[in-house]
Parts: sequence; C-alpha cells; structure tokens
Amino acid sequence: MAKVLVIEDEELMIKALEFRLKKDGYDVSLARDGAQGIEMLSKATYDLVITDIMMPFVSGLEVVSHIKGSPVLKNIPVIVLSSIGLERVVMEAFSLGVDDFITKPFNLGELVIRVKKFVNQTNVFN
Amino acid sequence: MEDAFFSITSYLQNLFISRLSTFPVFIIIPLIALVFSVIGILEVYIYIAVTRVTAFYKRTREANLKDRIIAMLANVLVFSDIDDPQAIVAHFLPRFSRLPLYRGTIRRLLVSELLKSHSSFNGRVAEVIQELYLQLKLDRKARKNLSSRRWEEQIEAIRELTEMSVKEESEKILKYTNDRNPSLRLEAQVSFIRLCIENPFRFMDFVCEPILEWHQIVLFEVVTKTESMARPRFAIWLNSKNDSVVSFCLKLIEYYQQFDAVPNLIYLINHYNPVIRGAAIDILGRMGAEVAESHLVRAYTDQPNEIQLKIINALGMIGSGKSISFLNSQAKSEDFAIRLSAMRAIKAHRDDGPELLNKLFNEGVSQDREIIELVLNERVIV
Repeated sequence: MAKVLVIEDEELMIKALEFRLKKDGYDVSLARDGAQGIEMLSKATYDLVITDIMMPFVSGLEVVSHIKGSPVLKNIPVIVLSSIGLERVVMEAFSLGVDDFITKPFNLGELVIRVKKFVNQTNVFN
Repeated sequence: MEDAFFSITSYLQNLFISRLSTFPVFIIIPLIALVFSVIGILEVYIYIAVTRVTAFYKRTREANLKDRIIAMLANVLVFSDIDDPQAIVAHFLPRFSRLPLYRGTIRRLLVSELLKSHSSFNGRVAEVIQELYLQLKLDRKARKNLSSRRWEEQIEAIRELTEMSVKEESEKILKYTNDRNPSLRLEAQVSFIRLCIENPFRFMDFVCEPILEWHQIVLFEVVTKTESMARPRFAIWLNSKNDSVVSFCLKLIEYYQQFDAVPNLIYLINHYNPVIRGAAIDILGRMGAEVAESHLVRAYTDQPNEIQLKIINALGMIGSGKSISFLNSQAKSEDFAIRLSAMRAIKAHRDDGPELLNKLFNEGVSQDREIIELVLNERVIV
C-alpha cells in the first residue's frame, strides 16, 4: 500500500484528502503544519507528499526545500496545493524541485489521478 | 475550620448588628462602604467565573459541531467526485437539516465551511456544495443582509452570494456598484462582474462614483482571470463622463489589444484631462497605430511638456517613418528631455533611424553628439 503524507492546515481540506485517498487504497498520514510534516518525514518513509503552501510556522515551500535538499528524501515526489497561482510562486516552487503544482480551486478526481501517476512512477523506479 | 468560620460570622454579626449603632458616624460610613465593596467584588468574581464557564462550554460545543460539520462535508466532497451530484445532495440533505441551523453560530459555521470548500474545489464538488447551500436555504440570511444598514454586513452578504453564484441577486447588487462607500462599491462591482456573465460591465454605463486606482487593480485582476466572461468592445465607454471609467477601459483595451478602438483613442488625444490624454497616447504608441501619427503630430504644439514627450515616444514606438522629419525637427529642440526623446524615437525607426542620427551627429554641437552616442550605444538602455 503506497504511503502518502498530506501536509495541510485547513481541517476540511485535510479530511477531504484523507477520505478520498483512503478510498482509493492509499495509506494516508496527516500533518497539520510544515514543522510537523518535516518531523514525520524524518521518522517514516513516504511514496508521495502533498503539501499546501500557506501554513503556520513552516511554509510548504520550506518543506519542499527540506525534501529536495536532503539526499535521503529528494526522490519523493511532491505535489503542491496552493490558492496562490502567482507566476512568481509557481516558478519558485518548480525551481525548488516540486513535481507538480495544483492551484485551488481544483478537481479532487484530477488530484487523485496525479497522485496515482506519481506513486506508480515511484514504484517503477524503486 | 468550622469553628473559625463560626467565630468570624459571630464577630461580623456582633460588629454590624449589635455594636454598629454605638460607633461614631465616621466609623459607620467606612464600615458600610467596606461591606458594599466586598459584596461588589464577590459579584464580579462570580460573574467572571460564570462567563468563563459558559464560554468554555460554548467553545467546546462549537468545536464538536465544527468537527461534525467538517466530517459530514468531507464525506460530501469525497462522494461528489464519484457519484451523481443530485443523488449526493438527496442523500446528505437530511443529515445537514438535522443540524440546529436556526442558531446563528451553527449557521455561520456551516456557511463558512461551505464557502471554503466551494472556493477550494471545482467541478462536480462545487456544484454539490452550491446545491446544498441553496437547498438548506442558507442564502436567506445573505439575501436579507444585502439591505442591511451596516456596510460590513452588506459586503459579507455580497461575497457569500457571489461565491455561491446566486445570480438572481445580481440586479440587487448592481445598485451598490455606484454606492458612496468605496469598499461596498468595489465589492459590488467585483461581484457583478462575476455573477452577470452575459453583460458584466453594465455598471459602467451609469457609475458616477470614481473607480479608484486600487479598485482598478482589483477589477483588472478579476476581469483578466475570469475565463467564462463576455468581453465587450471597451471603446464604447471611452466617451464616459466618469474619467475613472475611461482610464479603466484604456487598460482593458490595451490588454485585449482591441484595435477597433483606435479611432476612439485618437479622439482622446484632445481629452480635457491630461492623464487620460497621456494614457491614450501611450496606448496608441504601444499598439503601433500608424493612423494616429498625423493626429499626434497635429496635436503636439498645444500640449504641455510631459504630453509632448509622450507623443514623441509614441511616434518612436509606431516607427512607420512618416513622422521622421517631425522628429528630426524636435531633435534640435532647446529642451534637453525633448531632444533626448526625439533621438530615441528616431533610433526606433529601424530603416532610416541610425542613418539620420549619424547625420545629426556630424551636424551637431558637442552636447548633441554625446546624446547621440548614448542613444546609439546598444549596451546602454536609456
């Protein structure tokens, strides 16, 4: 069962992602902010990370920077969810090594398809 | 402990009942004041304690209800993506109806979560959320608040109805697009643009309150980012009596490159407001409107210095070659800024420009030669 870490501070969003991904058979772990997400990444291995950008304490981009800057974690695909679709933010995210960028409002079904694509890729490479 | 309590009680009883009348007045008054103060302080402590306990229970109850609402909504979101939207609404509606929505806090909580989810998801999920909102009759309060006396409530109502695409209220919102309160006016304009897809700019026909600069930035963002919207010929508002409407339309004409607006832009070269005049000239230049060249040259003499500079820059951007003799004459002006702009405009004429500048270089005085060298140097951005 593929393990997905969802880092999101909005309760409704986190629940919706949890229920939807669990329904598709993923093992979903949840972190309520960036700091908690980084801590969880140091304790367990994940096949995919989905993170919001705007979060308290540690932002989503800092989480991405931590993942892509670490030799152990850098191969984990990261999908960023953001309500800020500014070109500057998108560019910064991709320059940090984000694998996909989804702007809110988004289609939940589309997100699941993207998750599936990345998880399959990770499994093929591993 | 009990003995101590009884001894204090009997002492107070003795003091205030038996012995009080024997004391002189200057002792009686402070003693009575002391009693009232102690009673007052005790009341305040009791009030604080009761308020805190009530607030704690209220918070706990609300947090539990919020968790329940979020869990219910999360289920709606998940199944909306898979099943038929109507079936999902029919399935979940009775559960939501059981919530005590007559209580303001619960209603607000549910509306806030519905708005959040509607702005985060699109497609079928958004449809289901909107349907739930309408079928639970949560729009009633917002519709009522549209006529509230408090503008903050009106803004909140407009935002809610816009997010939930309640198009029937667009006519009511339209009247606020010309409100004297700038915040309410902006909110209504943004809302009208988003709700009335067929004719989103109708408010510009009659708005006489100014569309402030920061309003224009917000509206521009909304207009350019709303995909399913009809974009009219913005030139029809260029003769508006409201200068801010003209200014806003100029920005949109340039953004959407509406070349059919060029005759109207030419007309604005003689507008009474120099800001509008300058903006129109800039746009004519950036749109490369060759037909405007002769009009620009004709209007040049009567303009103030900053507009003259704009005309020269526009002629440079158009760069058809028809005005090169005019620019040549301006390159000999006594005004340094005009001279520099004219030389830059000449250089922009790719065919004859550099040659003419070289000719001027040979004829010119030492200061002109320095300007020409500067203009011709490709590494220097003047």
